[in-house]
Amino acid sequence: MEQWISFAVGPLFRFAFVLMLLGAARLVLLQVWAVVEARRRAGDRTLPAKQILKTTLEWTIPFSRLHRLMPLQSFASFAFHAGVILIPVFFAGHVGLWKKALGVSWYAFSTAVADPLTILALASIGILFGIRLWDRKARFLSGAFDYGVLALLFAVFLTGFFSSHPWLSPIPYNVALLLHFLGAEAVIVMIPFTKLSHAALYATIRFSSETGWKFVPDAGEKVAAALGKEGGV
Amino acid sequence: MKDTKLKVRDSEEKKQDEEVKSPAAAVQDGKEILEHQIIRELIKKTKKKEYRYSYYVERDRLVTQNRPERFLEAFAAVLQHSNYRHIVDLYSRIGARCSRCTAMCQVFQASGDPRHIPCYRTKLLLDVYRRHFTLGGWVRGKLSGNGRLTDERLDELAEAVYKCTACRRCALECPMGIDHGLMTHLARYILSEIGLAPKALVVATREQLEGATRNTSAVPVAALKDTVEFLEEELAEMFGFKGIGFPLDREGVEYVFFPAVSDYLLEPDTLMGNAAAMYAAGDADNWTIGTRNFDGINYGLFYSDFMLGRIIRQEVAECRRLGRTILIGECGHASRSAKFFVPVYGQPDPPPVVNIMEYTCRRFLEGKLRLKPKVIEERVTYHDPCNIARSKWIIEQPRILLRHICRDFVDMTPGGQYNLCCGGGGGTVSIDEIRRFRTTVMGGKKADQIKDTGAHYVVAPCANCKKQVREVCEDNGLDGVQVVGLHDLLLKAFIFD
Repeated sequence: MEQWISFAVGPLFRFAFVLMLLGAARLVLLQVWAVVEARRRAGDRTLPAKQILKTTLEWTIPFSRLHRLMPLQSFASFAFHAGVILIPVFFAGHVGLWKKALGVSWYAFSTAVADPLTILALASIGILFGIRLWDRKARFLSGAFDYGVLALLFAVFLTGFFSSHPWLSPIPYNVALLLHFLGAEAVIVMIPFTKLSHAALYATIRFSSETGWKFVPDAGEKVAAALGKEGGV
Repeated sequence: MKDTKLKVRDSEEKKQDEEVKSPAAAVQDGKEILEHQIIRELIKKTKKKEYRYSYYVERDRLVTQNRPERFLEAFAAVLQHSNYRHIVDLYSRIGARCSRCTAMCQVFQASGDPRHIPCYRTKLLLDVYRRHFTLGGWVRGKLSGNGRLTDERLDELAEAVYKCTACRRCALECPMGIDHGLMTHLARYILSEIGLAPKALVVATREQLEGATRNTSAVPVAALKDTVEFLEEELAEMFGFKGIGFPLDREGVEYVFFPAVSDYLLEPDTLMGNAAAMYAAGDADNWTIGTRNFDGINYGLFYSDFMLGRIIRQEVAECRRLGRTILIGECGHASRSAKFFVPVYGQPDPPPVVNIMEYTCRRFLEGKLRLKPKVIEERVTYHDPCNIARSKWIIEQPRILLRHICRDFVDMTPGGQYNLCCGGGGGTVSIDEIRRFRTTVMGGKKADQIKDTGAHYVVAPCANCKKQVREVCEDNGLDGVQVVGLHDLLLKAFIFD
């Protein structure tokens, strides 16, 4: 078991992390390039960059919006994202691993902060799962992956909690720890290949949406020609 | 024609069959028989599959083979030549389908039908992209043995995108920043390339681009001249002096005016208000209406980028012939299509675009145009046309004027950038076949909103919104409400020196 854990926390983590980094970097670079290219081809090259940045920031920390629409889902989503971002990066146990892997360390918080965040994240995932399950419109939109990824994240948080509080764990410490590592690495690997890619692409989305309305002046003629049309209405 | 043994699936289909047959009734006997035979043959051949939309599609475009293949071919061509590819690719990766857009979509809220959820509509298009244009989607499709675009899926998409008012309200609240309005726009464009577009939009656009009159309502120049002469006489009678006019084909002016052409037929007060504003502001000699092109309507915005561009170029050419600035009348989509797409299709050196409400407000604030305060006694409310409010372009300007001239102005809630659509946006107002759905489901919340204000006048400064809000009022028992343009009310407040 020890060997498995060493493997999971060592080579497997490095592999997952590098794969995620390369994949995410590829996505971001391609998207930024696409925006630049779209702007170059567009008839109207203006881009309200300040406004787009402002909106992106507003949605990154959406305090003013959470209570406005679908408050339960909004707060759950926010708390869940806070946990998903803050705990892996700043929890003392993780910072130690980061130091081991990257050789650098930074501010860390202890279980006193991590525990409430974890419990909040677990509750939030439960709520989000429940909404997808019981709310008719959310259920209509949801696929197997939407449920699966929430279940996986729930398992990662739960095994993480058990790993830092072994006396509360119904499963052996080593098992919890191994499952925690494997689950977290699965999530990390999924980032570039699934809808989790929004973690990497988030900052570019609104820029892309804006360039979508920046049409290419002769695109209509070219499309008609490609389809063998004469161009009549 | 009575002996036709057609078995229709439902009333919508029956209506559409009648529409298909109706042109035959107008032709000579011999021709009628021939056309009748063609239609029967057509129905037999297609097993009525093409009669499944709630909107009419032109008859000669109904007989189409290999529609999924043709749709994919058109999709590929659009992706190759336009700027949509990176958006579709991005949205297909990141879409979380959180359902937050349901809290913004008035169509879904009124119908409760999950097929009207903006995110679901977007998914219909993105599923096609994933399956046919990405490696992962192709592999998944092969492994699962399904997912290919079928006639049924195509029909679902074609129906879904015209049950959307393209108001883009959902885009304001998507945490990811996905613009479902853009996806509806794209899907409509691709569908139009295989002939699937509402007949009402296509016929009007054809007249505007290729017809004799070059406008969507087929108003001949002679009729335009008669109308403006009549309006000039009305204005002279109204104000007791001559001089407020509609100058035609005057060269070297600043403003070339493009209202929705339907205003010449339906909205005399709006037009008289427009002319009076130009006169009162001292620009009587500085504007004109071009007789080669006097229609601001651009249905291309609703179904085809190709048509959008062609109409814009026509508009820009007329502006360059006579003046320097495109002045758009009270019409939301005409304003948006000109404001945002003249810089695309009007290169090089595209002319500036101004909306008449912007113009009037600016002149009022500059002190060049004077208005009597509080002359409208009845309660007035203002409906924001989506196409000018969603981008925050024109929200305050009309309100500044209305607060000045009205004794009792009340805003709708929500309003401004977050306004509710009239329910006829995205060109759906022109589709009379769906009137009931349009006024009760799509426009139901607008009816509630108007009722809540208790207003006597609803100012809806847009040709499409006016038609829709009037029908919404008619169909929802709001009999006492008068739907007017902004300049209709300003007409009662102008002060002439």
